[in-house]
Amino acid sequence: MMRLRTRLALAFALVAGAAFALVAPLSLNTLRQALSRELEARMDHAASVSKDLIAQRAEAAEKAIDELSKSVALEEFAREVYSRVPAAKLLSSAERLMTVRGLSVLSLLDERGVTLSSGHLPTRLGDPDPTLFEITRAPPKTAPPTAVELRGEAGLQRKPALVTARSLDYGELRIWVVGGLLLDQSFAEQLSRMTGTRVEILSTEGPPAAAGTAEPPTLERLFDLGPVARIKVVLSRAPALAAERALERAFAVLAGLGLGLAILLGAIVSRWITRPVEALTDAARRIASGEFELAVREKASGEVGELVSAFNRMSLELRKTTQQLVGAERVAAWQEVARRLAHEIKNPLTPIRMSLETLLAASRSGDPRFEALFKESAAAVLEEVERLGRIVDEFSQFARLPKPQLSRVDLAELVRQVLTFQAAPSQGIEIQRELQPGVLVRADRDQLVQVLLNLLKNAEQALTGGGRIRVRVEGKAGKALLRVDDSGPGIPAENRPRIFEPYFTTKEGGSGLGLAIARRICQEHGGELGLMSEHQPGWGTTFVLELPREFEQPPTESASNREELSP
Amino acid sequence: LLALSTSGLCRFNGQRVRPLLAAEISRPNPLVVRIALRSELRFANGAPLTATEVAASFERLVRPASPSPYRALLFPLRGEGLGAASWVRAADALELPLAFPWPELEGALCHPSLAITAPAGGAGIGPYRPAKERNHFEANAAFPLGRAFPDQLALTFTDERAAARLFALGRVHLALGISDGRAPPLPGPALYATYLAFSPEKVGADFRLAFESALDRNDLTRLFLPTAAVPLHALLPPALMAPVPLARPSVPSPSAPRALVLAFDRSLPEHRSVAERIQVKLHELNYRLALKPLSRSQLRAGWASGNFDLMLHSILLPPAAPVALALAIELSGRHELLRSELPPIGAQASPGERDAMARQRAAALLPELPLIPLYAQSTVLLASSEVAGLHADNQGVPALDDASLAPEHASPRGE
Repeated sequence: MMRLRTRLALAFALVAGAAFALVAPLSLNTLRQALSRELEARMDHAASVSKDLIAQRAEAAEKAIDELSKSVALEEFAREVYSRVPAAKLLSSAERLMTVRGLSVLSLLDERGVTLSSGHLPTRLGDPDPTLFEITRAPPKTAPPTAVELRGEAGLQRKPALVTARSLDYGELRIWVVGGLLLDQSFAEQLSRMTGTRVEILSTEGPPAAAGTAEPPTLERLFDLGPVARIKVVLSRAPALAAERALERAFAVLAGLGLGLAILLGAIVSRWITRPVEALTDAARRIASGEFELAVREKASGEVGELVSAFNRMSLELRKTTQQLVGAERVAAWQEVARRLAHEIKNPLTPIRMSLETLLAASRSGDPRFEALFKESAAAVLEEVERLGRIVDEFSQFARLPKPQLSRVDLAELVRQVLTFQAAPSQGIEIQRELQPGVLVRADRDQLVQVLLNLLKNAEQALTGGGRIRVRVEGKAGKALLRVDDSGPGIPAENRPRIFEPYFTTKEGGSGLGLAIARRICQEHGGELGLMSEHQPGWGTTFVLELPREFEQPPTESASNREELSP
Repeated sequence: LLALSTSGLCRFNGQRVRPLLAAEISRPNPLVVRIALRSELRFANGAPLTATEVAASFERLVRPASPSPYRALLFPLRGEGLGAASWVRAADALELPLAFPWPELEGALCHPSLAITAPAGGAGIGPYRPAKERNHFEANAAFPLGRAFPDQLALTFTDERAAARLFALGRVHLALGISDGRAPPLPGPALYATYLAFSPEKVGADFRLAFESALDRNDLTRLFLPTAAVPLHALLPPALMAPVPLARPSVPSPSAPRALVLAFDRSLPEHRSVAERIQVKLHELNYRLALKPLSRSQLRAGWASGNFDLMLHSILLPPAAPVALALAIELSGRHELLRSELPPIGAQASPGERDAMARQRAAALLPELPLIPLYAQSTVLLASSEVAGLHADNQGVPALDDASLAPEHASPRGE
């Protein structure tokens, strides 16, 4: 059963744990929400920066293409085309024009969309480029995202670029200048630097241009650049999660410390609270065992203090009452003994008196039968005096029972000897024995024999018309049992509580001290003599003698075997 | 430039072999070529040039460590040069045994790739030799054909536009590799042929068809080869056989993307342009070409091992169709065909018959060889009007040893 002190300590821990269980999730949730909002804000910022940067690139591309379309260099190129210089001479023209203007895409197309020179893919020379030619039909002053074919490590790849177009008319010749800026690695790096995120430019072909790092786990957002590409912004959630983990760890440590402290405080406080209660419990237990001379000394305040005071008062009252009760019982017992002793003594006194009065009257009247009466009366008086002497001897034996001389006694052996040598049964009485060997007790052998003889005598007296007596010796854990059954009529229910009282007897001529003495002997040996309450079929009365068992060695299974003997 | 400081046993103009380092090249019988060297020959580094150096020079060409398609020049030799030392008959004489009659061998021995060089350092014997000053050459007085007229050549390496500008300003007298559209380039046959070699098992059976449908050789030469180039419509250049118009098939339906690697010689700028053009055009037919520039030695090693998808090769063909066919077959990697193709040609009695048979075999073999002819170039050399006596041999190699400058245009140092 869990002690009050433990319960109180656990209650303290539970209260502390419950408080943490409520506070920790709330705090963590609040932190998570704050971190999530912060990440969302950073992501929104990255989106805004991306748009701004794309707008800046588009504007730069438009400016560069605008300047190129009005430049002398382009006019020179137009003149070369117009004068039909070998096409191979124009192979690297666009590349030069593109490089000096910081462009990464430039194609010079004729009015049919055929490449006159290409800076980003020179060997497109002479081929139509419908993708870039389509830009010439786009609204003016725009640089829409366009997939431009470039040379990659594994062949041509389409990469996103912001491309715009201008035209130059040279005589009847029209030259389209289509160019712009790639959304390439440098763009990804710039965007990554400005946003502090990992940026990936995902195009329809080839590996993405990527810059920056984002330790997983991550939060991602995609921005469409039309059908040609998407920008993926990746934010690391690792720092936020690290902060969350740190807080969780702090909570765990605090929870551990708090619980430990709660248990410690609970133990101290519960000890402080329960010490008087435990003292009271101990005192109550000791009082119950008859130890009245004690008081609870624990200091306590409040209700517990009042309880201690009340208990001490109650204990004092109980002690007084018990002393009074014991005194009264002792007086009552002695009164009863005196009454019965007086009754016993009084009984022989009456015939003595009558005999003496008869002799006195015969002597005064000179009755001739005086001599005969004298003899008869003297014999009666002597008989009664002898009876008185016997009464006094038995009382003396009851009052001054000698101190037992203890030795180890084998109960079965003792029973066997008594039944063989000292207790020969009367005619018509059968004695049965069930003796478990090796059941040892520490007892005064003679007194034990006296008890057994008394029980056998009682049984025999109960079997007036013959019957059976059964003697059983049985060893149990720590106990040695000696049972004496008779098949007689049994003891009436109204007499059963009184049969061990001194001078209680239902037999003619009985002293009423036999069972009282037998019980006292048992009690002197630390045991008890009782009447079995349950009725056993076929048996009238069963006396049970119970003594502490002695062991030569630890009990074994074979020790429980019974010896079955015929009568 | 190599021809300035090295030379071979002879020069060949297509009809006649003119001894150079050799005093005489003769045939004691149809299966032996006897070479008598000039006496007292010395390399530019002073080492003597004897028959042993000639044999070693030939052996270097054919040994596995230096794979070269030019080894086909010596294919008719018995044992293909494995017994080069056994060819030496005296310090100034060699005898080359032939496995089968091959009257073209004398002409083949004049090919620039068989220039005789010293085993150590690579020095040769040419009209010029390297001067102490960097990128300068000085006339070699010991050149067997006589000392060159110009005392010194100063080289300037620059790009096409800068070279044209320098030439226009009169700062240079000779400009190699450019054409200004005014002065005619040095007349010479276009024998520097470029082919696309491919591994049939790697590129697929339909690759040739796809290539022919995607690439227009006329566009290729017109748009991407500023120097004098002619499209190669046959296995051999027009100088050796009449072009056979190659039909451009219809475009095959696009298949699944096919990734290939095209290797090319990074020392040749036009290779890059051509490779990129092939990349662009084949992309339309779902071929994903990765370009891989390699040094010439890496390119040759890759070619010899056969471990490539596509490879651009340029080789200098000799001015004789039978030998040119041998080189083209070797370049295609079908070395074994040389055994069956060359003897019948060599068995022909007259040069005309051998040429005719070689042209006929070239036309027949073209679809079988994993080799696509692209274009052929001639050496483009612009010379100012003050330069006289400049000519190119039948290989198209300019011979500067006979060139001269009018005195008033020569620099004080005679450059």
